[in-house]
Amino acid sequence: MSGENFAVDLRKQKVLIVDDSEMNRCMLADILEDDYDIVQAKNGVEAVSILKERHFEIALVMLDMVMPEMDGIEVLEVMNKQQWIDNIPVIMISVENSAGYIERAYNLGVTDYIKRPYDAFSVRRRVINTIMLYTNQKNLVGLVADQIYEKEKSTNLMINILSHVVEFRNGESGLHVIHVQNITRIILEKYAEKYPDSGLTESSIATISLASSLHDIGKISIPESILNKPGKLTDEEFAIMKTHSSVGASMLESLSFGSGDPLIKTAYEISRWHHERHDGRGYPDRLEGDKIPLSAQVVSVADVYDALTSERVYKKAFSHEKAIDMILGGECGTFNPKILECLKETSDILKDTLNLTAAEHLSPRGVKNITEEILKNNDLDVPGKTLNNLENEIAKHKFLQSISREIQFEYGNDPAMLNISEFGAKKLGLPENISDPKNSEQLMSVISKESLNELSEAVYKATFEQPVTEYECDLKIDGELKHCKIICLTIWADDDHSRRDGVVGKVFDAE
Amino acid sequence: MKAGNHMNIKEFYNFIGEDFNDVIGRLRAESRVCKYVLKFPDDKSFDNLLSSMKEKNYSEAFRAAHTIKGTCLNLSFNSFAAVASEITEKLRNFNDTAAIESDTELDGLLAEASEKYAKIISGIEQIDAPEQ
Repeated sequence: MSGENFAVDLRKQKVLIVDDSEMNRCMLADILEDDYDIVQAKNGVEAVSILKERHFEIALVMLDMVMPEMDGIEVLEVMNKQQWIDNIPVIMISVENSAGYIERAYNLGVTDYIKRPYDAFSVRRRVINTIMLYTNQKNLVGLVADQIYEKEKSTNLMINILSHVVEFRNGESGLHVIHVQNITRIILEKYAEKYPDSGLTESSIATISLASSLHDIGKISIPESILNKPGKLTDEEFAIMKTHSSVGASMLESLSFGSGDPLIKTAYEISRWHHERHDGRGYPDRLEGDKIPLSAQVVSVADVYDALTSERVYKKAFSHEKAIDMILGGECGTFNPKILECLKETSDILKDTLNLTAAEHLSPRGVKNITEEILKNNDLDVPGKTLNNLENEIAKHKFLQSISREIQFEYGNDPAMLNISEFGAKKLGLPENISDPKNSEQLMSVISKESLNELSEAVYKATFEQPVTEYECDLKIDGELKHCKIICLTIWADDDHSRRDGVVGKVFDAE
Repeated sequence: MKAGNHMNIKEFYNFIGEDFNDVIGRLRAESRVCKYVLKFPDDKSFDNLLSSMKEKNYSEAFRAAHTIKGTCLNLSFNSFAAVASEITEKLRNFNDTAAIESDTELDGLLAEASEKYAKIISGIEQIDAPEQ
């Protein structure tokens, strides 16, 4: 093994070998180094610190069980806690043959177990197979995510077209279905939050809001003369109008395909029962209270609210406040008090939604959450494409850093760790990784404590608009004090830029 | 090159009473076997085992014996590995100091291990090392 791995081979995947015996590490490295980039750790603590920094690029861990400092089981526990185990396969390699040990390791998520003495051929094959399996899985996750998105998109599109056809025939703009969809979703999200036992999930909420678009589908059977009559309907006409809910339901019921589909089932409930009343005085079935499915109960509130706040041939639009008052005051029917409670609490959001002329049917956030939910249920994780892109970016960055003759550094807040480029570490006479740098005596031998504090204060003044900090001080380079300029960029941990992830930067000679 | 070198790697395995075919079957390349056998004296696990026993640091002794067992199995030093394995099992409950110290077989096993270790080391010293 030559220790000098200056240039990183981008084509080779990285295998982390963790074993306290140098001999054992060498033997494994020897078997694998033709095909893989080998990273070595001599105990569990080292392994965890390597994983902390580089878990995105490690393709596989070969893990010994009995080690000082931190043993294999403890490493597995950390990998579980940090969820690294979901993306990094672990092959346990040990002479340990006590059943309890092996069982515990499997329970903690190891993919394979190789017993010593091993043969070189099997080790290589099992490593290749395990990595291929995981790579395939990552790709599959990406494919599944794409397909879910495509499917959602086409379903939404079809339902949109269908509900718009119905609406245009009613002489409405098509906005009604969009509004009902949004209001339904907002109320249901509140409901799920207030009543966690309701069984509502992100995906059932999406199904109900989407199905809500079909609530008036039965109106296609109502003559236009009645539908678009400007004046009051006669009793006879109103009786015909009222058939739209049961007609819509039977249309959905008689679909020869998709009858078991949750979307169709929900659309059926909504279509049939969105004119039922909580007191049992609605139509067509005079259902009472919670005999009316929650989906239909929520859509009926949403339907009434949007009808009140929209202009119709026979009425003007009421204001948001007036509409809420009318509904809560029982002027437009009786509703489930829990849903009215949700309506009240989401009043501000509803008001904003009302101002939207067109809305995305399924927000990107919704798609993401649904995807996550489905992926979680299938034991899959982050879409593979994203992960691969990230891996590539990290590999490129590492490579460029390794060949640049510059003092570059990265500082991460959590855990506090300073990483210096290989070249930089040599120039400064420091190790490449320094944990808890603010209290590191080694670091103070290169930069004075005062300068370090000033630098840290300067960095903390960085804002999202002005994330770059420049600071000048003396640094010991190649053993001599030199006046230098440090330029660094603050990296934010979250989208709203309230938390700092750390900084990246470079040292320039200012003399 | 040291004086008295005269064995090749196969002869070495014969000398210590082990099966060369077994190790070459697993590690595949003679050069690889040779490299590790020559590296074996650098591995300080056996010294570590003896000194840890002396210092009554039984957890460290357990790990050392465990490591020896693994390494030796990989090199097909099977009879040495067998003794190391017996020692490993006797030290597995390393917190039970009383049981370890009253174990009458342990000293005998350590003596046997030392003997086998010495034999392996003396054999390695006689191997004609290939030109590096």
